[in-house]
Amino acid sequence: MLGVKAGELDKMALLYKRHSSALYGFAYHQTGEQSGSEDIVQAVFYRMLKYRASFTGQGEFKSWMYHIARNCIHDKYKKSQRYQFLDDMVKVSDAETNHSFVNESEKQDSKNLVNFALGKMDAEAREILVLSKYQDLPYKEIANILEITEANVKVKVHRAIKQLKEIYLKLENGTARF
Amino acid sequence: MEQQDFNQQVTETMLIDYLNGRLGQTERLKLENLIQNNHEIGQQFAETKALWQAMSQIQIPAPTKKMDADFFEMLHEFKTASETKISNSFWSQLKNLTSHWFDSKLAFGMTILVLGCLLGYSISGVVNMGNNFASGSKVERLSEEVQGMKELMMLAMLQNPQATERMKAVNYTAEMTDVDSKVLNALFSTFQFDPNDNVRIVALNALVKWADKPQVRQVLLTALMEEKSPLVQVALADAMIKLQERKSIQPLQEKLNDKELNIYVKDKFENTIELLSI
Repeated sequence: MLGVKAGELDKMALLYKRHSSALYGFAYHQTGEQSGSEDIVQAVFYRMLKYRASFTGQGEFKSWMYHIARNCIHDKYKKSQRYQFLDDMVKVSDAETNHSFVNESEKQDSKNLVNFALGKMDAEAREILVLSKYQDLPYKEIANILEITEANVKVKVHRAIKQLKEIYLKLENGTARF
Repeated sequence: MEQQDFNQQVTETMLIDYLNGRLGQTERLKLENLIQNNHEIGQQFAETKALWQAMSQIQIPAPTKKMDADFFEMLHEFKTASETKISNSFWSQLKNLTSHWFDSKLAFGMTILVLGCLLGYSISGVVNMGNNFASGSKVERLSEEVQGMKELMMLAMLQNPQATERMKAVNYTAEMTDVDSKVLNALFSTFQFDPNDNVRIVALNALVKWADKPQVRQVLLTALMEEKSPLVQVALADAMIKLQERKSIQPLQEKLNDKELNIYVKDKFENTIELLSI
Protein backbone atom coordinates (compact mmCIF):
# COMPACT_ATOMS: atom_id res chain seq x y z
CA MET A 1 0.00 0.00 0.00
CA LEU A 2 2.93 2.32 0.65
CA GLY A 3 3.86 1.82 -3.02
CA VAL A 4 0.35 2.85 -4.07
CA LYS A 5 0.62 5.86 -1.78
CA ALA A 6 3.90 6.81 -3.44
CA GLY A 7 2.16 6.91 -6.80
CA GLU A 8 2.56 3.34 -8.05
CA LEU A 9 -1.16 2.92 -8.60
CA ASP A 10 -0.72 -0.36 -10.52
CA LYS A 11 0.22 -2.01 -7.24
CA MET A 12 -3.40 -1.68 -6.20
CA ALA A 13 -4.09 -4.59 -8.56
CA LEU A 14 -1.90 -6.81 -6.37
CA LEU A 15 -3.79 -5.75 -3.28
CA TYR A 16 -7.04 -6.45 -5.10
CA LYS A 17 -5.94 -9.98 -5.96
CA ARG A 18 -4.87 -10.57 -2.39
CA HIS A 19 -7.84 -9.12 -0.53
CA SER A 20 -10.88 -8.86 -2.82
CA SER A 21 -12.24 -12.34 -1.99
CA ALA A 22 -11.98 -11.74 1.75
CA LEU A 23 -13.63 -8.34 1.41
CA TYR A 24 -16.40 -9.82 -0.71
CA GLY A 25 -16.99 -12.49 1.97
CA PHE A 26 -16.98 -9.84 4.68
CA ALA A 27 -19.65 -7.88 2.83
CA TYR A 28 -21.69 -10.91 1.76
CA HIS A 29 -21.92 -12.43 5.23
CA GLN A 30 -23.35 -9.16 6.47
CA THR A 31 -25.63 -8.22 3.62
CA GLY A 32 -26.63 -11.50 1.97
CA GLU A 33 -26.47 -9.77 -1.41
CA GLN A 34 -24.11 -10.83 -4.16
CA SER A 35 -24.37 -7.76 -6.34
CA GLY A 36 -24.37 -5.37 -3.36
CA SER A 37 -21.26 -7.07 -1.95
CA GLU A 38 -19.46 -6.70 -5.28
CA ASP A 39 -20.35 -3.00 -5.26
CA ILE A 40 -18.91 -2.69 -1.76
CA VAL A 41 -15.61 -4.30 -2.82
CA GLN A 42 -15.45 -1.80 -5.68
CA ALA A 43 -16.19 1.09 -3.32
CA VAL A 44 -13.53 -0.02 -0.83
CA PHE A 45 -10.79 -0.12 -3.46
CA TYR A 46 -11.90 3.20 -4.89
CA ARG A 47 -11.73 4.82 -1.45
CA MET A 48 -8.35 3.24 -0.76
CA LEU A 49 -7.07 4.85 -3.96
CA LYS A 50 -8.71 8.16 -3.28
CA TYR A 51 -7.62 8.41 0.33
CA ARG A 52 -4.27 6.64 -0.08
CA ALA A 53 -2.54 9.65 1.46
CA SER A 54 -4.27 8.93 4.77
CA PHE A 55 -2.58 5.52 5.06
CA THR A 56 0.33 6.25 7.38
CA GLY A 57 1.85 2.79 7.34
CA GLN A 58 1.97 2.87 11.12
CA GLY A 59 -0.86 0.41 11.73
CA GLU A 60 -1.87 -2.76 9.92
CA PHE A 61 -3.00 -2.34 6.34
CA LYS A 62 -5.79 -4.84 6.94
CA SER A 63 -7.20 -2.81 9.83
CA TRP A 64 -7.28 0.29 7.63
CA MET A 65 -8.90 -1.65 4.80
CA TYR A 66 -11.60 -3.16 7.02
CA HIS A 67 -12.20 0.23 8.57
CA ILE A 68 -13.01 1.59 5.12
CA ALA A 69 -15.05 -1.52 4.29
CA ARG A 70 -17.19 -1.01 7.40
CA ASN A 71 -17.88 2.57 6.38
CA CYS A 72 -18.82 1.47 2.85
CA ILE A 73 -21.23 -1.17 4.16
CA HIS A 74 -22.70 1.29 6.59
CA ASP A 75 -23.15 3.93 3.88
CA LYS A 76 -24.81 1.48 1.51
CA TYR A 77 -27.04 -0.30 3.97
CA LYS A 78 -27.73 2.22 6.70
CA LYS A 79 -31.36 2.37 5.67
CA SER A 80 -31.69 -1.39 5.23
CA GLN A 81 -33.68 -3.66 7.53
CA ARG A 82 -30.60 -5.81 8.02
CA TYR A 83 -29.05 -2.99 9.97
CA GLN A 84 -31.82 -2.56 12.50
CA PHE A 85 -31.34 -3.86 15.96
CA LEU A 86 -33.62 -6.75 16.78
CA ASP A 87 -35.19 -6.71 20.19
CA ASP A 88 -37.01 -9.99 20.10
CA MET A 89 -37.89 -12.73 17.71
CA VAL A 90 -41.57 -11.82 17.47
CA LYS A 91 -40.60 -8.36 16.37
CA VAL A 92 -38.13 -9.89 13.97
CA SER A 93 -40.64 -12.18 12.41
CA ASP A 94 -43.19 -9.41 12.01
CA ALA A 95 -40.67 -7.21 10.29
CA GLU A 96 -39.26 -9.99 8.22
CA THR A 97 -41.49 -10.56 5.25
CA ASN A 98 -38.98 -9.97 2.52
CA HIS A 99 -35.87 -11.71 3.81
CA SER A 100 -33.96 -13.22 0.96
CA PHE A 101 -31.43 -15.41 2.73
CA VAL A 102 -33.27 -18.73 2.45
CA ASN A 103 -36.68 -19.88 1.40
CA GLU A 104 -39.15 -21.87 3.48
CA SER A 105 -37.99 -25.33 2.39
CA GLU A 106 -34.35 -24.54 3.04
CA LYS A 107 -35.00 -23.83 6.70
CA GLN A 108 -35.17 -27.57 7.37
CA ASP A 109 -31.47 -27.86 7.00
CA SER A 110 -29.42 -26.95 10.10
CA LYS A 111 -26.77 -25.27 7.98
CA ASN A 112 -29.35 -23.04 6.39
CA LEU A 113 -31.00 -22.52 9.74
CA VAL A 114 -27.72 -21.15 11.07
CA ASN A 115 -27.40 -19.01 7.97
CA PHE A 116 -30.90 -17.73 8.58
CA ALA A 117 -30.14 -17.11 12.25
CA LEU A 118 -27.03 -15.13 11.25
CA GLY A 119 -29.26 -12.94 9.13
CA LYS A 120 -31.46 -12.32 12.15
CA MET A 121 -28.66 -11.16 14.43
CA ASP A 122 -28.18 -7.50 15.12
CA ALA A 123 -25.65 -5.92 12.77
CA GLU A 124 -22.95 -5.32 15.35
CA ALA A 125 -22.99 -8.87 16.72
CA ARG A 126 -23.04 -10.37 13.24
CA GLU A 127 -20.14 -8.18 12.17
CA ILE A 128 -17.87 -9.26 15.02
CA LEU A 129 -18.70 -12.90 14.38
CA VAL A 130 -17.93 -12.50 10.67
CA LEU A 131 -14.58 -10.87 11.49
CA SER A 132 -13.68 -13.61 13.95
CA LYS A 133 -15.11 -16.68 12.23
CA TYR A 134 -15.10 -16.00 8.51
CA GLN A 135 -12.30 -13.49 8.19
CA ASP A 136 -10.30 -15.43 10.78
CA LEU A 137 -8.82 -12.28 12.25
CA PRO A 138 -7.11 -12.39 15.65
CA TYR A 139 -8.74 -10.48 18.50
CA LYS A 140 -6.02 -7.85 18.42
CA GLU A 141 -6.71 -6.99 14.80
CA ILE A 142 -10.47 -6.94 15.37
CA ALA A 143 -9.84 -4.59 18.30
CA ASN A 144 -7.93 -2.25 15.97
CA ILE A 145 -10.68 -2.34 13.36
CA LEU A 146 -13.49 -1.72 15.83
CA GLU A 147 -11.42 0.69 17.93
CA ILE A 148 -12.13 -1.17 21.15
CA THR A 149 -9.96 -3.15 23.53
CA GLU A 150 -9.01 -6.77 22.94
CA ALA A 151 -10.83 -7.77 26.14
CA ASN A 152 -13.95 -6.03 24.86
CA VAL A 153 -13.69 -7.96 21.59
CA LYS A 154 -13.67 -11.24 23.50
CA VAL A 155 -16.75 -10.24 25.44
CA LYS A 156 -18.54 -9.17 22.28
CA VAL A 157 -17.65 -12.41 20.47
CA HIS A 158 -18.96 -14.33 23.45
CA ARG A 159 -22.22 -12.36 23.41
CA ALA A 160 -22.56 -12.75 19.66
CA ILE A 161 -22.27 -16.53 19.87
CA LYS A 162 -24.80 -16.52 22.68
CA GLN A 163 -27.19 -14.44 20.59
CA LEU A 164 -26.74 -16.72 17.59
CA LYS A 165 -27.43 -19.79 19.74
CA GLU A 166 -30.60 -18.25 21.13
CA ILE A 167 -31.93 -17.29 17.70
CA TYR A 168 -30.98 -20.67 16.29
CA LEU A 169 -32.77 -22.52 19.08
CA LYS A 170 -35.88 -20.39 18.68
CA LEU A 171 -35.90 -21.12 14.96
CA GLU A 172 -35.26 -24.80 15.53
CA ASN A 173 -38.05 -25.10 18.08
CA GLY A 174 -40.40 -23.18 15.86
CA THR A 175 -41.11 -20.51 18.43
CA ALA A 176 -40.32 -17.84 15.91
CA ARG A 177 -42.65 -17.10 13.03
CA PHE A 178 -41.38 -16.19 9.59
CA MET B 1 -23.39 -16.56 41.41
CA GLU B 2 -21.42 -13.64 39.99
CA GLN B 3 -18.26 -15.72 40.06
CA GLN B 4 -20.08 -18.53 38.30
CA ASP B 5 -21.23 -16.15 35.54
CA PHE B 6 -17.69 -14.95 35.13
CA ASN B 7 -16.36 -18.48 34.81
CA GLN B 8 -19.08 -19.25 32.32
CA GLN B 9 -18.03 -16.31 30.18
CA VAL B 10 -14.35 -17.18 30.30
CA THR B 11 -15.08 -20.73 29.36
CA GLU B 12 -17.29 -19.78 26.44
CA THR B 13 -14.55 -17.51 25.08
CA MET B 14 -12.10 -20.32 25.55
CA LEU B 15 -14.40 -22.68 23.67
CA ILE B 16 -14.33 -20.37 20.69
CA ASP B 17 -10.57 -20.01 20.89
CA TYR B 18 -10.31 -23.77 21.15
CA LEU B 19 -12.46 -24.25 18.06
CA ASN B 20 -10.39 -21.63 16.23
CA GLY B 21 -7.20 -23.47 17.23
CA ARG B 22 -5.92 -20.45 19.11
CA LEU B 23 -5.38 -22.00 22.54
CA GLY B 24 -1.93 -22.82 23.87
CA GLN B 25 -1.21 -26.40 24.84
CA THR B 26 -1.67 -25.88 28.57
CA GLU B 27 -5.00 -24.11 28.20
CA ARG B 28 -6.13 -26.63 25.61
CA LEU B 29 -5.45 -29.55 27.94
CA LYS B 30 -7.17 -27.75 30.83
CA LEU B 31 -10.22 -27.13 28.70
CA GLU B 32 -10.37 -30.68 27.35
CA ASN B 33 -10.27 -31.90 30.92
CA LEU B 34 -13.08 -29.52 31.88
CA ILE B 35 -15.21 -30.62 28.92
CA GLN B 36 -14.86 -34.27 29.93
CA ASN B 37 -15.52 -33.80 33.63
CA ASN B 38 -18.10 -31.04 33.74
CA HIS B 39 -21.43 -32.08 32.24
CA GLU B 40 -22.70 -28.52 31.83
CA ILE B 41 -19.51 -27.32 30.10
CA GLY B 42 -19.49 -30.49 27.99
CA GLN B 43 -23.00 -29.76 26.76
CA GLN B 44 -22.15 -26.12 26.13
CA PHE B 45 -19.12 -27.20 24.13
CA ALA B 46 -21.17 -29.63 22.05
CA GLU B 47 -23.67 -26.89 21.19
CA THR B 48 -20.99 -24.35 20.33
CA LYS B 49 -19.10 -26.89 18.24
CA ALA B 50 -22.23 -27.86 16.31
CA LEU B 51 -22.97 -24.21 15.64
CA TRP B 52 -19.37 -23.48 14.64
CA GLN B 53 -19.31 -26.44 12.25
CA ALA B 54 -22.64 -25.46 10.71
CA MET B 55 -21.25 -21.94 10.20
CA SER B 56 -18.21 -23.41 8.45
CA GLN B 57 -20.46 -25.26 6.04
CA ILE B 58 -22.26 -22.14 4.89
CA GLN B 59 -21.21 -21.43 1.36
CA ILE B 60 -21.55 -18.12 -0.35
CA PRO B 61 -21.82 -17.56 -4.08
CA ALA B 62 -18.51 -16.65 -5.71
CA PRO B 63 -18.23 -13.11 -7.00
CA THR B 64 -18.94 -12.71 -10.70
CA LYS B 65 -16.30 -11.83 -13.28
CA LYS B 66 -17.94 -8.44 -13.52
CA MET B 67 -16.40 -7.53 -10.14
CA ASP B 68 -12.86 -7.99 -11.53
CA ALA B 69 -13.75 -6.19 -14.75
CA ASP B 70 -15.26 -3.26 -12.83
CA PHE B 71 -12.20 -2.99 -10.62
CA PHE B 72 -9.69 -2.89 -13.47
CA GLU B 73 -11.84 -0.37 -15.34
CA MET B 74 -12.01 1.81 -12.23
CA LEU B 75 -8.25 1.52 -11.69
CA HIS B 76 -7.58 2.47 -15.30
CA GLU B 77 -9.88 5.50 -15.08
CA PHE B 78 -8.33 6.57 -11.78
CA LYS B 79 -4.81 6.32 -13.20
CA THR B 80 -5.76 8.27 -16.31
CA ALA B 81 -7.36 11.01 -14.22
CA SER B 82 -4.32 11.17 -11.89
CA GLU B 83 -1.85 11.34 -14.78
CA THR B 84 -3.80 14.16 -16.41
CA LYS B 85 -3.81 16.09 -13.17
CA ILE B 86 -0.08 15.58 -12.64
CA SER B 87 0.89 16.67 -16.14
CA ASN B 88 -1.27 19.76 -15.78
CA SER B 89 0.15 20.94 -12.52
CA PHE B 90 3.66 21.85 -11.59
CA TRP B 91 2.69 21.94 -7.95
CA SER B 92 1.27 18.44 -8.11
CA GLN B 93 4.55 17.21 -9.56
CA LEU B 94 6.43 18.84 -6.73
CA LYS B 95 4.02 17.36 -4.21
CA ASN B 96 4.49 13.90 -5.68
CA LEU B 97 8.23 14.36 -5.49
CA THR B 98 8.10 15.38 -1.84
CA SER B 99 5.77 12.51 -0.97
CA HIS B 100 8.43 10.10 -2.33
CA TRP B 101 11.15 11.76 -0.32
CA PHE B 102 9.20 12.80 2.71
CA ASP B 103 10.54 10.14 5.01
CA SER B 104 13.99 11.60 4.69
CA LYS B 105 14.42 14.64 6.90
CA LEU B 106 17.36 15.78 4.78
CA ALA B 107 15.28 15.66 1.62
CA PHE B 108 12.48 17.47 3.40
CA GLY B 109 14.92 20.17 4.49
CA MET B 110 16.15 20.48 0.92
CA THR B 111 12.60 20.81 -0.33
CA ILE B 112 12.01 23.66 2.11
CA LEU B 113 15.30 25.27 1.02
CA VAL B 114 14.33 25.08 -2.65
CA LEU B 115 10.90 26.47 -1.89
CA GLY B 116 12.54 29.29 0.12
CA CYS B 117 14.90 30.07 -2.79
CA LEU B 118 11.98 30.11 -5.20
CA LEU B 119 10.04 32.42 -2.93
CA GLY B 120 13.11 34.66 -2.44
CA TYR B 121 13.73 34.74 -6.17
CA SER B 122 10.13 35.63 -6.83
CA ILE B 123 10.20 38.41 -4.24
CA SER B 124 13.53 39.84 -5.47
CA GLY B 125 12.22 39.64 -9.02
CA VAL B 126 9.20 41.59 -7.98
CA VAL B 127 11.31 44.16 -6.08
CA ASN B 128 13.55 44.64 -9.12
CA MET B 129 10.56 45.45 -11.14
CA GLY B 130 10.43 48.75 -9.21
CA ASN B 131 7.45 50.67 -10.31
CA ASN B 132 5.95 47.67 -11.98
CA PHE B 133 5.41 46.19 -8.52
CA ALA B 134 2.20 48.08 -8.35
CA SER B 135 0.93 45.99 -11.18
CA GLY B 136 -2.10 44.12 -9.83
CA SER B 137 -1.48 41.02 -11.91
CA LYS B 138 2.04 40.51 -10.51
CA VAL B 139 0.89 40.87 -6.93
CA GLU B 140 -1.91 38.50 -7.61
CA ARG B 141 0.47 35.96 -9.15
CA LEU B 142 2.79 36.20 -6.15
CA SER B 143 -0.09 35.81 -3.80
CA GLU B 144 -1.24 32.74 -5.70
CA GLU B 145 2.24 31.27 -5.52
CA VAL B 146 2.41 31.79 -1.76
CA GLN B 147 -1.02 30.22 -1.41
CA GLY B 148 0.16 27.31 -3.56
CA MET B 149 3.20 26.81 -1.36
CA LYS B 150 1.08 26.81 1.77
CA GLU B 151 -1.14 24.19 0.19
CA LEU B 152 1.85 22.15 -0.82
CA MET B 153 3.34 22.33 2.66
CA MET B 154 0.04 21.40 4.20
CA LEU B 155 -0.54 18.39 1.95
CA ALA B 156 3.01 17.14 2.46
CA MET B 157 2.95 17.60 6.24
CA LEU B 158 -0.35 15.76 6.54
CA GLN B 159 1.54 12.62 5.63
CA ASN B 160 4.01 13.03 8.47
CA PRO B 161 3.84 10.12 10.94
CA GLN B 162 3.96 12.54 13.90
CA ALA B 163 0.54 13.75 15.04
CA THR B 164 1.88 17.18 16.05
CA GLU B 165 3.17 17.76 12.51
CA ARG B 166 -0.19 16.77 11.07
CA MET B 167 -1.88 19.22 13.44
CA LYS B 168 0.47 21.96 12.24
CA ALA B 169 -0.44 21.03 8.68
CA VAL B 170 -4.13 21.39 9.39
CA ASN B 171 -3.49 24.75 11.07
CA TYR B 172 -1.98 26.06 7.82
CA THR B 173 -5.53 26.31 6.48
CA ALA B 174 -6.25 29.02 9.07
CA GLU B 175 -3.91 31.30 7.10
CA MET B 176 -5.56 30.58 3.78
CA THR B 177 -8.04 33.00 2.30
CA ASP B 178 -9.80 30.27 0.35
CA VAL B 179 -9.45 26.52 -0.05
CA ASP B 180 -9.73 24.45 -3.20
CA SER B 181 -11.08 20.92 -3.51
CA LYS B 182 -7.61 19.42 -2.93
CA VAL B 183 -7.28 21.05 0.47
CA LEU B 184 -10.90 20.35 1.38
CA ASN B 185 -10.52 16.68 0.47
CA ALA B 186 -7.33 16.49 2.53
CA LEU B 187 -9.20 17.99 5.49
CA PHE B 188 -12.12 15.59 5.00
CA SER B 189 -9.77 12.67 4.79
CA THR B 190 -7.86 13.75 7.92
CA PHE B 191 -11.08 14.34 9.83
CA GLN B 192 -12.52 10.96 8.85
CA PHE B 193 -9.50 8.66 8.84
CA ASP B 194 -6.62 10.08 10.87
CA PRO B 195 -5.70 7.54 13.59
CA ASN B 196 -5.26 10.31 16.19
CA ASP B 197 -8.42 11.84 17.69
CA ASN B 198 -6.69 15.14 18.46
CA VAL B 199 -5.66 15.58 14.84
CA ARG B 200 -9.21 14.76 13.78
CA ILE B 201 -10.59 17.39 16.16
CA VAL B 202 -8.17 20.01 14.81
CA ALA B 203 -9.28 19.07 11.28
CA LEU B 204 -12.91 19.38 12.37
CA ASN B 205 -12.28 22.88 13.74
CA ALA B 206 -10.53 23.81 10.50
CA LEU B 207 -13.52 22.56 8.52
CA VAL B 208 -15.89 24.70 10.58
CA LYS B 209 -14.15 27.75 9.14
CA TRP B 210 -15.26 26.65 5.66
CA ALA B 211 -18.78 25.73 6.69
CA ASP B 212 -20.21 28.10 4.08
CA LYS B 213 -19.39 25.36 1.58
CA PRO B 214 -22.35 22.93 1.44
CA GLN B 215 -20.14 19.83 1.16
CA VAL B 216 -18.48 20.69 4.48
CA ARG B 217 -21.81 20.82 6.32
CA GLN B 218 -22.84 17.57 4.65
CA VAL B 219 -19.68 15.78 5.79
CA LEU B 220 -20.15 17.05 9.35
CA LEU B 221 -23.81 15.96 9.44
CA THR B 222 -22.93 12.50 8.11
CA ALA B 223 -20.13 12.23 10.66
CA LEU B 224 -22.64 12.86 13.46
CA MET B 225 -24.30 9.55 12.63
CA GLU B 226 -21.16 7.55 11.99
CA GLU B 227 -18.66 8.85 14.50
CA LYS B 228 -17.62 6.38 17.21
CA SER B 229 -15.03 8.34 19.20
CA PRO B 230 -16.64 10.15 22.18
CA LEU B 231 -14.07 12.97 21.98
CA VAL B 232 -14.84 13.67 18.35
CA GLN B 233 -18.58 13.29 19.00
CA VAL B 234 -18.40 16.05 21.62
CA ALA B 235 -16.34 18.25 19.27
CA LEU B 236 -18.92 17.66 16.54
CA ALA B 237 -21.72 18.72 18.87
CA ASP B 238 -19.80 21.92 19.70
CA ALA B 239 -19.34 22.56 15.98
CA MET B 240 -23.08 22.19 15.41
CA ILE B 241 -23.77 24.79 18.13
CA LYS B 242 -21.18 27.14 16.67
CA LEU B 243 -22.71 26.78 13.21
CA GLN B 244 -26.26 26.86 14.59
CA GLU B 245 -26.92 23.90 12.30
CA ARG B 246 -30.54 22.96 12.97
CA LYS B 247 -30.36 20.12 10.50
CA SER B 248 -28.24 18.31 13.07
CA ILE B 249 -31.17 17.99 15.51
CA GLN B 250 -32.59 14.91 13.82
CA PRO B 251 -29.33 12.93 13.61
CA LEU B 252 -28.54 13.92 17.19
CA GLN B 253 -31.94 12.65 18.32
CA GLU B 254 -31.38 9.41 16.46
CA LYS B 255 -28.01 8.95 18.12
CA LEU B 256 -29.67 9.28 21.53
CA ASN B 257 -31.31 5.90 20.85
CA ASP B 258 -27.90 4.30 20.35
CA LYS B 259 -27.45 2.00 23.34
CA GLU B 260 -23.68 2.22 23.09
CA LEU B 261 -23.55 6.00 23.17
CA ASN B 262 -21.24 7.22 25.93
CA ILE B 263 -23.26 8.66 28.83
CA TYR B 264 -21.36 11.98 28.77
CA VAL B 265 -21.79 12.26 25.03
CA LYS B 266 -25.48 11.58 25.51
CA ASP B 267 -25.71 14.52 27.94
CA LYS B 268 -23.79 16.69 25.50
CA PHE B 269 -26.12 15.73 22.63
CA GLU B 270 -29.19 16.45 24.75
CA ASN B 271 -27.82 19.91 25.62
CA THR B 272 -26.96 20.54 21.99
CA ILE B 273 -30.48 19.63 20.85
CA GLU B 274 -31.87 21.94 23.52
CA LEU B 275 -29.66 24.84 22.43
CA LEU B 276 -30.42 24.35 18.74
CA SER B 277 -34.16 24.07 19.36
CA ILE B 278 -34.44 27.46 21.02
